[in-house]
Amino acid sequence: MVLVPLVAFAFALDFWPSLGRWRPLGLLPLPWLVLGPVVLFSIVVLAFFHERTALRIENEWAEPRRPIHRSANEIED
Amino acid sequence: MPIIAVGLVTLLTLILGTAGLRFARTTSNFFVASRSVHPAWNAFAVCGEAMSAASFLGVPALILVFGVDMLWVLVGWTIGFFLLSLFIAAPIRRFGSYTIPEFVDGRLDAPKLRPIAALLVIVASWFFLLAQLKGAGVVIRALIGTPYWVGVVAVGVLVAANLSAGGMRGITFVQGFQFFFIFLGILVPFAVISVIWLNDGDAFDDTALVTNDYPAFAAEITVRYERTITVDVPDATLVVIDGLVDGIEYDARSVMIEAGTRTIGAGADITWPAGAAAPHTASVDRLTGAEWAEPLGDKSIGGGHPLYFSVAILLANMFGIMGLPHIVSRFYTNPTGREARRTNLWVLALLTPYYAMVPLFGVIGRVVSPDLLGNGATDSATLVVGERLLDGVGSDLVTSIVAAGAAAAFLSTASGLLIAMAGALSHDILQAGVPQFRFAVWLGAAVSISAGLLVESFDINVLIGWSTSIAASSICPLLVLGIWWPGLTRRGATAAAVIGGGASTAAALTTMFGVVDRGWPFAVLATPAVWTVPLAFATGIGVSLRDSDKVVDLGHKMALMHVPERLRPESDGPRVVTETTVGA
Repeated sequence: MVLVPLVAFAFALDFWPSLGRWRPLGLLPLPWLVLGPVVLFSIVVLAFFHERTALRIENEWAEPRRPIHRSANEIED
Repeated sequence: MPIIAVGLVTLLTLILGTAGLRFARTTSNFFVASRSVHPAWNAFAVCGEAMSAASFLGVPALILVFGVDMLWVLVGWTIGFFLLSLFIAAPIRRFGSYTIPEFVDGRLDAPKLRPIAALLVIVASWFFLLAQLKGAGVVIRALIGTPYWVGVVAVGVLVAANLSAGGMRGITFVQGFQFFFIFLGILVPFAVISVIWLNDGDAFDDTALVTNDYPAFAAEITVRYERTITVDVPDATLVVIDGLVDGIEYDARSVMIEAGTRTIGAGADITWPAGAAAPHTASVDRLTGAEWAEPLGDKSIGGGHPLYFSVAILLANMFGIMGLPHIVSRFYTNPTGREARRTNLWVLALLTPYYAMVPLFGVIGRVVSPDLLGNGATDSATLVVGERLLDGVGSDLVTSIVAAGAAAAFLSTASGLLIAMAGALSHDILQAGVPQFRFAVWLGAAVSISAGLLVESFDINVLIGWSTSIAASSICPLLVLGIWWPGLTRRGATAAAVIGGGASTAAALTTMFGVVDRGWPFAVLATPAVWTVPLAFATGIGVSLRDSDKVVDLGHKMALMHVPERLRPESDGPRVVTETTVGA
């Protein structure tokens, strides 16, 4: 999830060098922004969501398991 | 004033380390701090280790010389910590070992593999430790003008004394406190420099960062060349030389130094006039502002193979973090796997702003201290930027804060590395207790100090690159396959460790001794992770698939790693290792 866009970005810069000269915020060119704060803080956000998901799965497993039972109506549906 | 700040950090390190002596009675205390460290405090300690001389001093140096392509290093480290959360932190804690080799032995029932894994831990940690000692030598020399060896020996001895007293328990306190010094050491100067940059247009010429001009001296400057170095002088310039240049001794004389490659002797002082083009170390390409600011240029890092280098740097650092013993071993100190994972989330939240701030010192350093490009002292860029931009007390104050941060960075990381090395030697090779651990600490320190004296000419991040490549190609595959693939066998793991570790170590030694220095052979050997990591994984999987000698009790071991503690039956606790107790 993280690696693919980054490697794609590297390849894009290799084939489209002018992307590396584009300065959306004045002095800092795009690659400095992408490889700096944008990617770094995106990884933290991903990690936060990963931790939340991991906790949710752990809690689900910790609950007493309900027997798998479906009514005849549900089967017909 | 800076040396007082370094002294304070050192004193605090000694006091806290010695305080740990009270608790350091058992193997569990020494190796895993009795597995009782709170996630937040453990995160401070992990950050203390991760914010090493490599990021504090090495990354700004790389950015100063090579530009934007070096941001891949920071991205790689950050992804590496994320992958640690995903794949390693919780399972390896749940398994309950004290060291990585012990985990490998326990998971695969492979006592013969344990010393091999221990050897890999020692080699990977050793290269990383050399980088910290190099940082110590550079910082102490820059602050008080002592010879390089003073910093190396002082830090090596201090860290060994601390570790042999308090072990992991003591060093956890120390690293937690050191984290705050390191973070402030970057945050405060970052804020000051940013305010100057945004508010004082005359402070320095930031347009030079992106124009087609080569770096030049904004004002007259006297540059000290601490060691003999070969530089490219771009233009003929009238300078004042006090020392040896091209074998001729000058006694503070005005000389027209001709354009071309010049050898400047150790201890020489050269005064360059304002506006002169800055000389450049002959071993790397000279870049204009535009070439430096744009990625993947023909003359950027990699000598004509920038894309390969960028991907290689990313992979080496990413997988390297997952296998660096001093980082992984910190997760053993959490009470549970869940808290190990939570620790890592804290780590990412603390490391990211730090990694986002660090590049500024390389960026501004290129404008205000272009002399570093030619005197081989790029590793001191973080230290000198504040000093060059400010005057008087402000300069002293900012430099002191940076110096304290730098000292904390190399002290903290060196502690973690030495504990990983000593643990591998005493616990996994000698299979002994605390007294042998103390012996291993001093042995490791002695060997590292001796080698640290010889690496003055190596950039910090070159040494770090070798360490991460070895860890990525040997320890990382052992951990990832061991935790996630039930099919891994003893022979498969041994083959992966030997082939991956051997290939990456051989590549590191080949570049270390300068066998190749240009072209594809250099690119492939200087950053070998692109081929050694897949090679190690493929070898481990291939050999295991053809091996009929499968590991027994596999279901129990996999459950131990992957089922959260609170869902386990009481009897199925962590693997217990015999405690060794020492006298009071």
